[in-house]
Amino acid sequence: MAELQAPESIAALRLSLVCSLSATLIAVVLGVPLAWVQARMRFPGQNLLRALTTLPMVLPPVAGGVALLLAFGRRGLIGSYLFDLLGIRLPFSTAGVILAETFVAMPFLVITVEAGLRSMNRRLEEAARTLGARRWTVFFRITLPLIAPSIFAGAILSWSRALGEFGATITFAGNFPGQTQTMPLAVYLLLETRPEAAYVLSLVLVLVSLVVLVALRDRYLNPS
Amino acid sequence: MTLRAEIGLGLGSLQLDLELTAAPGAVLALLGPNGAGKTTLLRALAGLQRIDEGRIELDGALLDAPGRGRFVPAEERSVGFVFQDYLLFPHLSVLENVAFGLRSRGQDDPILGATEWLQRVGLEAYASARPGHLSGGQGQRVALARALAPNPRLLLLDEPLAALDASTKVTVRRDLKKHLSQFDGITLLVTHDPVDAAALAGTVLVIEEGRAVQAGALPEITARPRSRYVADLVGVNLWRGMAVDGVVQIGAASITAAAGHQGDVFALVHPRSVSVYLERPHGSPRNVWRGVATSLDALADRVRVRVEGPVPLVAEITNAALADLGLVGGEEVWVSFKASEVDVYPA
Repeated sequence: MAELQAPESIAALRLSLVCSLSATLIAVVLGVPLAWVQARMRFPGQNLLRALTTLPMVLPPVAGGVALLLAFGRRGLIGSYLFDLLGIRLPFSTAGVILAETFVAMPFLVITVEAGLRSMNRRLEEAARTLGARRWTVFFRITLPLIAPSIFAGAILSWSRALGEFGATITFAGNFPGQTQTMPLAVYLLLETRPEAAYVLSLVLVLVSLVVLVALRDRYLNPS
Repeated sequence: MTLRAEIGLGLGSLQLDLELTAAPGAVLALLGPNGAGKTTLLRALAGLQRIDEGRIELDGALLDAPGRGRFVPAEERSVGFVFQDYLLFPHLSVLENVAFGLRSRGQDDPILGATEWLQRVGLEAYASARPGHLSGGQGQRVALARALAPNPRLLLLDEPLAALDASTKVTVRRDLKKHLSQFDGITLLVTHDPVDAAALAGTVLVIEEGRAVQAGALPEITARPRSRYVADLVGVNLWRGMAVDGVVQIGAASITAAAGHQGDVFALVHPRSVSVYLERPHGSPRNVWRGVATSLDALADRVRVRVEGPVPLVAEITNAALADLGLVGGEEVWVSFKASEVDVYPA
């Protein structure tokens, strides 16, 4: 227990919570509309978009981190503009951790929500329209509440993926205690110096995963 | 305030092509077999399905006219829709379901309006219940209240009684009739049950394969069916053929009716008018032929015998007659009916 109260452990724990929750929030905000577009609209290049959104699920996280560096690095495609015009530097910062975690976690949300949108009874949306509900009213009062369980499940999956993120984070954001050193990174380093601390932190991660799995089983497999 | 629609619409193998008009306060039943296009017609009127050709006009306002690039979406039409499976919103209370249309249409105090409607359908006790806890008949009443609450000009009911069991059907049908009689807009009711059509609607439009085949009051329609579907519904023998002075040619065979009929006609014979014999009958009947009794269907006090022959037909005989004949199905029999029993009318 003393290991958990060590300052670097607490810092890593706090950072992990802040970053993984932020990443989950961003994944929900961006992922739900993306899932809606993929489930409900027909447009050219749709398969390409679907492949791109799910790519981070199968991509080795280290390669994902490299891709993020190429895109958002100081001299990256987007990163150079971000730095030159706005002075924003993403790599090796806490924001970079959040970006890396969002990158790997969002596909879980998109896929879960898209499945929810496809399986919901779309005729309920039609019924709402015959009652005078416009597009946004239908979305917020019918569609969104009906797919809430999918959003919840997707968010939990995303969060646990973000919490465990290692490869893309260390590649893109580095390993600075208090700034980018999340729990998995701390465990990796502590294993060299203080294995007992690594064991305790690992145990915490295992417990979180277990709780998530149990909660999801109840929520997801028995929707009633 | 009238509904005028000319609808041309292709959807998969269905080709819808019909006209209909209805006056305020009227209840029009759309009767037809499955796949005839009844539901698609309702969806087109509601604005859930665009038509390819024609026009839909309600109260003088053009709702859909592809030729003039006009299409009013469902949410802007004054149309209430009661779906076959009701489609109550499962995550909202019964009260919020009924209030939904009032809220969307921006009416004052939707909760008050919805409460009044729940009282009218006798479900105020269920206001806070979720639709999942309602019985089929209650769900139907909520769906009706939800559709009527915003006071639409046109009410569309898709098989409103189909999902109910026989005992519930009777009371729901009676309640529905009461509510429809108080509704001053136009009601269109889809059904494949002539009993519902007769009970609820003043006028019936028979639709088959996307076309209107017959319109009028139900007794007129059943007295002189103009399609196999209606004939089967009523349980009579109906043929179409060319008449030459009372002799109706049907394929290779012919039926002799009263003299005088000419041209393209329907010939109707009630199964009770058809007699069945094991031997060739003697006497006056003009229409006599041989066939095979292929199937027997028991009614309350009679039996319907289907006879395949030059002209396939159904005969209805008493149980006693069946016992005398000793039929079990598959026998060769003779059938006959009098020329005077054939009702002939122009096609």
